Amino acid sequence: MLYALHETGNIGTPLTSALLLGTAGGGTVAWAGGMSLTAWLAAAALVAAATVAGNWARNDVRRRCSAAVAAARTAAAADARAERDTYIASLHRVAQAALPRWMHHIGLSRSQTEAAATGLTAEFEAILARLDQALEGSRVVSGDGSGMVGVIASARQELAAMLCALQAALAEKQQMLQAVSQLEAVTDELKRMAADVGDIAKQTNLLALNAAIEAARAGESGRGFSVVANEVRKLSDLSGTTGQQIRDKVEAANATMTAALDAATRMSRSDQILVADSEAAIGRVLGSFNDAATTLAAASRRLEEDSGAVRVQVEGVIVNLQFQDRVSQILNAISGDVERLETRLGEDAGQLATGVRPQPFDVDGWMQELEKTYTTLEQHAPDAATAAAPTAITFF
Amino acid sequence: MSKTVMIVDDSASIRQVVSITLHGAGYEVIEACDGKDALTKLGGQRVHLVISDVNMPNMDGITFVRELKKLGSYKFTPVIMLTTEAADEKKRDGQAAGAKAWVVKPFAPQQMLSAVSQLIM
Repeated sequence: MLYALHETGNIGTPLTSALLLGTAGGGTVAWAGGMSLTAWLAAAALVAAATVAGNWARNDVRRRCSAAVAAARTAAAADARAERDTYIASLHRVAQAALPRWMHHIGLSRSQTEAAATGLTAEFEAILARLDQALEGSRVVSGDGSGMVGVIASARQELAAMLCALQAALAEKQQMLQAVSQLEAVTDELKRMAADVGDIAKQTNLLALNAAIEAARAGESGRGFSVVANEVRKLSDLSGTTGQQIRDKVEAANATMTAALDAATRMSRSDQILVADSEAAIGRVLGSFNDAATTLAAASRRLEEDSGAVRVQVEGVIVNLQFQDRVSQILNAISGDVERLETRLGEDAGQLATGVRPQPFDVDGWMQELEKTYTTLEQHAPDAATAAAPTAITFF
Repeated sequence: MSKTVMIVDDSASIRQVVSITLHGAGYEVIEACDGKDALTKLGGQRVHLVISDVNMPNMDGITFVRELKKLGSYKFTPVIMLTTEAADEKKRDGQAAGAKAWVVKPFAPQQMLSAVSQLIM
């Protein structure tokens, strides 16, 4: 109440009450004493006493108010200290409970990022390996050496060699036919010779006949000559018969040879047509193979080009996966600083528990220690939000 | 005969990326997760080049290169530092330790292959 009295500035109330009581008492005394000098003196004394009493009462109230205010302030300060201590203690408890978890969670993030990046890198490595296998298979199929193109080239060579052999055989056959056809001239010669033999035989026969006539005309003396002429005529008949037989045989042989030659010529023409047809068929087959091989080679080239582009992109992805190492090092610096803060807060809590006031934080010194743990450019330059790109190599 | 390269990095994904890059070019690759592990795995075997990270647990890259150069067998083995660090001070430390080149992550595969072939000769 007194505190409230002091606070509201109503401190004059006891003094006013005393003065009113003294004045009333003095007036009563003066009125009761018939307004005599003694009465007036007594009344004045009462007023003075009332004034003194009022002043004492006012001072007492002031003293009590000051004491109450001081006590209230002390209590408020104690309350504030208690609240601050409670807050600091709760802050320490939160720090001691949360900071290890933060470090644990940072560690989890690092390990999970590392595992994911490692897994992704392995997957991309497998993709690259499969790409290489596919390319190798494509090269084997369409390659110039042992691939489809090589097989076609080899087949073309073998078929061309076979065609050459067939053409050579045909040419030999033609030569043989020409040689056989030349035999016709020989048989004609034989036929002429046989005819000559027949003519000679006729002439001889005629000559023998004339000799026999002349022998008969000579009479007995020409009888021996007639025998000779007769024998000569027999021989000429025999020669004529033999000549005819030769001519018949030669004609028969010639007819057989001509028939054989005709048959061989027809066969040769068939062979030539067959070889030409074979050559055309082989050409068509090789052309089809060539078209297929060209298409295959073009597809293989496109596959190789596309694979090359994919390889470049996959390598780019692998380069980008290196972000994990940078993130890990940044998280490592944060983790180390959180650990340092936890240690410091633990030490401060210990000091507070023993009544020792801990030293305030040296913020600049703390930040300098933190910066010593930086390992990447972006940590030193907080504005650098983008990831670092590959830079030139420094050679010493 | 293919050449052998050792990659030393505490990040499995970085070791994997380097291995893929080098395998693709026909190199044999040995992996180690830090400097200490690398010294153990080397064990005197022939290595034509070493690629090492800088910030690693147990033994950092700069210390590893210093220790490597103390070993007679690897005194002349070229070393490429592969790290996120780009500060000149760090590069000087690497050069003083005996490294021949400094590559800042992330690296481009062709660029790395070019540096490797240039240093292996």
